[in-house]
Amino acid sequence: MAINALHSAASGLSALNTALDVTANNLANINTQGFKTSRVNFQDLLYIEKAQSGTLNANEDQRPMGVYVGLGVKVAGTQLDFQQGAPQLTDRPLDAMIDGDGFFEVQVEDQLGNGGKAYTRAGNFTMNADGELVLGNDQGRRIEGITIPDTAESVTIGPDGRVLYTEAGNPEQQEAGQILVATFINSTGLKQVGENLYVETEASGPPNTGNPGEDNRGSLLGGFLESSNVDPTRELIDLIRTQRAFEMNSQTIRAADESLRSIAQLRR
Amino acid sequence: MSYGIQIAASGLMTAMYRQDVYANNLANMDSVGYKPDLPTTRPRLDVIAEDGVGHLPSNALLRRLGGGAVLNANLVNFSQGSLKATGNALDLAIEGPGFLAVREEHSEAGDRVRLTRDGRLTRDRTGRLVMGSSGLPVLDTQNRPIVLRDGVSVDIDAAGVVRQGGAVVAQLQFVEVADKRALSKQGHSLFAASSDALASRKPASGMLRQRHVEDSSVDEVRVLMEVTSASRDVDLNASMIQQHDRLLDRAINGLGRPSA
Repeated sequence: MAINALHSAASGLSALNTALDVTANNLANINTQGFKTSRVNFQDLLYIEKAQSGTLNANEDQRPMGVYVGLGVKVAGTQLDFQQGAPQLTDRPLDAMIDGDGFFEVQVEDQLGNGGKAYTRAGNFTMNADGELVLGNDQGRRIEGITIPDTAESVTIGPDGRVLYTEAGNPEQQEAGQILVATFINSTGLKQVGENLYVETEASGPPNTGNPGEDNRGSLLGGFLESSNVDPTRELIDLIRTQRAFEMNSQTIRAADESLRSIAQLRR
Repeated sequence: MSYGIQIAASGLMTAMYRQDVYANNLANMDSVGYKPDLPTTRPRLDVIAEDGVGHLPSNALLRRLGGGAVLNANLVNFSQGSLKATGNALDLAIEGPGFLAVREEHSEAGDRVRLTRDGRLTRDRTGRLVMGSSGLPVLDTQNRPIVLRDGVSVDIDAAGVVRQGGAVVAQLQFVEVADKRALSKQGHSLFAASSDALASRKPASGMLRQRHVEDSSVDEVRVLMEVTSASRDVDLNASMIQQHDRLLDRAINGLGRPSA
């Protein structure tokens, strides 16, 4: 029945709608530091065996293959793409990016992330009133264990994650703390919770936290920020494709509707 | 008996079936590794053979009357989809013939091996290489899942040898079967193979391309044309049914009536 065609087309429209939403979000975050682009993965839905009266006949040999009709498409998932974004030179001493694998670990409410931890690639740090190193956004999430005294003059973040400062009249560098980097076995399984943050899930596996540059973790680049890895060309091509696919599926609905109308008018 | 009305109905039903199959193809124009279905129909035998009417005096008239159309088996068009670069190290596109083998873990019937052209892979929390869409583990040549080490870059060559940091970790089960017609679609980008077909697995002659995916090989323009032309076929057959209906109307209500 053309009803199946209607459902297939409707499943196409709804999946493409999701793709449009994801592309729109990617493009909206084209200037968000540390943002990772997502893509929508489509896959075919189930198939039904088609049985029509008169299809099989006793005189015929057995059919070697089945007759089946697919029931459309579904969104199998959205997949994060963790390719590194381009380094963006800021010369701000408290900016840092991770060159390689890993995430900065920040403290959040327990209900937001497992164990009160969330993870981010955005290293635009700043200090709060207590001299603690925090994420430079409206929430000011803290990095654990790093306090910079207010007497500090020049602060630098080293490739190994140590935060060093000097004080007036003392040329020797002192350590304010150590920035840790966490990697995950399956980072595409992390959950996005907004604010550039990711939290651990069952799928991602537990974090493997340690010093930057060790054990396959990326090292830090002070004075740089990681740009968003959204590729505008690819996103716009996807946008065009999605829109055209949307139109084609709506044509299917029209065609299936015409078939049904022809049938509805069979009996005058 | 008016055979024409049934012959037209068979045309209408097969046209709607074609429309359903093409609608599904169109809905999957962005499904990675999707291979379009080709709905086929065939003529029925003439009505005497099909319906077994051999004893009626009107048989001579039916001798050469065709029986309409019936569904034939679906074919899957396995032609190559275009490759799209993604840059993701765990994306694999298959160029040429071949499938990746995955394991569907199933409680009742035991584990089953399925084949797929969807090479969007990722790792699960235990480090196994799995399909990104369904999480089914990808198998090596001994039907075992492949476990990757954490944080070491992965290199997969055209024949499916998986290397990490230069050392060989595993050999992907990258195979083709003797007769692709023995594969049936399962949804979720999977093909089920009969046990004969699974036994006939041999190393694929195609190539794997890392950091690419194979686009759906649906030809949108052609499929859209088929969907709309199926509507026309439904319409034409519906008109034929109406035509026959009008004839029957005259035969029943007009023929015996004394002329006014």
